[in-house]
Amino acid sequence: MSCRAPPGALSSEVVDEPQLLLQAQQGDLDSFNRLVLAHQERAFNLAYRILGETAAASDATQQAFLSVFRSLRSYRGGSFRSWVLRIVTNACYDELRRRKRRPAISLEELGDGEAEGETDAWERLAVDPQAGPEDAVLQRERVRAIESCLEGLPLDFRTVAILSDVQGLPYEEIANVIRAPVGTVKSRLARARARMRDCLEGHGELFGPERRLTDRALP
Amino acid sequence: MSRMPAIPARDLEALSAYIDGRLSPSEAVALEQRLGREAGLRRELEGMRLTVRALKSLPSHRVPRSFALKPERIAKPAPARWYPVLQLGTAVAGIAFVLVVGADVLGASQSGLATRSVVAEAPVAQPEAGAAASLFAEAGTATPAGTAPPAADMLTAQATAPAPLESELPMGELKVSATATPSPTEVAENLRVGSSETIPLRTWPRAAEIALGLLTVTLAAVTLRLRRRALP
Repeated sequence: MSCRAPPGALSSEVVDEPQLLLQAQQGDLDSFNRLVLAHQERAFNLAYRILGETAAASDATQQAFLSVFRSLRSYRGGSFRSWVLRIVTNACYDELRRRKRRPAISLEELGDGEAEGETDAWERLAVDPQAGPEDAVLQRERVRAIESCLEGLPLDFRTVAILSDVQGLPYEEIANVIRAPVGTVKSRLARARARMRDCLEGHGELFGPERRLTDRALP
Repeated sequence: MSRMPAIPARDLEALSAYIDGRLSPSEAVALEQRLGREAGLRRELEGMRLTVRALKSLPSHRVPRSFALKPERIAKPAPARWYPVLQLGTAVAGIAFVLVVGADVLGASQSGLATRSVVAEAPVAQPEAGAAASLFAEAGTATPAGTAPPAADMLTAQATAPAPLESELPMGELKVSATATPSPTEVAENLRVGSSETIPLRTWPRAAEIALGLLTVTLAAVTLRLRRRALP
């Protein structure tokens, strides 16, 4: 069962967010759940891109929203979206640490989860309905290549690349999410992009007329 | 894997910030001038732009379910009925532990003071004892081993007999009266006795400390576990 977030939810533009926050801080669960609905798609996508599988991303997102609810009283203003994304990021890091602590178990879980998550992801991919079968296959292969390269990045680089280039957050908000200076964000982002470019070079045939990412004939 | 020579990290950062429009006007102009001259830098910029475009093209995934919280998920289950008893027990055990440790430390410090006062007298007493011994030797009254003179007998008896207030002395205290004015021989004998026959450390405070410490930790752990279980 899939739940489509309302249009525009990814941009998390909640009209009366401060009011909902105030009511949620006073224990109003309905107000809190309206905030959840507004932010859940972005939160889940961040978790999915960090963890690489649907089930783990769902668990981390749910755990993160529970933590947000429990910590609402300690929320002292600022961007609510950044705060939520920070908690989601931390939940994902916890999950990755847990996997590292129990490699024997987590490898099995990871294998099953990845296979399941991958199938699930391919079913969910928003392929252009106007595209022909060949284009649709090519589009899926491109997405697979980009996701594979993204997953190959070191965790710090991956998080910044996701927040910046996949989710479109500005440097300052990314710095707020990962609790690092803006200079660190710039540096990590540049390195992440350079590594991504190197990795995508190996899939140059997938990228159509711009197939070579580098070493192309330039004017 | 990369076929291109690596460019300096600061150039990478500049190109990345340039793509995002995060360079200052002067920095942007300087970079554009370099881009006009350096083909390698242009290639880097183009590759990075395509990479950013590729990342931006990743589709957004639909959420598999709603993450809205249900009331039962956030409701706190009632804690166990005996939770307050455990809390009280932990507090009492903790306080008792602190009191016993405090009393033990206080007793040990008093004992230490008494010991230091005796040791402080020793350097004064030892030369006198040595002088007394030399007087015996000069008078030719060397005492055979095992036959102590009457005075020495008395001193030995005095030193080994239990002091009237011994039971009131703190743990580990020497059997030497710090206030008496001993003769040189008496001081020497007392030091000998004191150094070799120190009353053994009382063990009951240690045992009580360990028992109370363990009890406190155990109760605290059980209480904490119950509290965590009570959280949603």
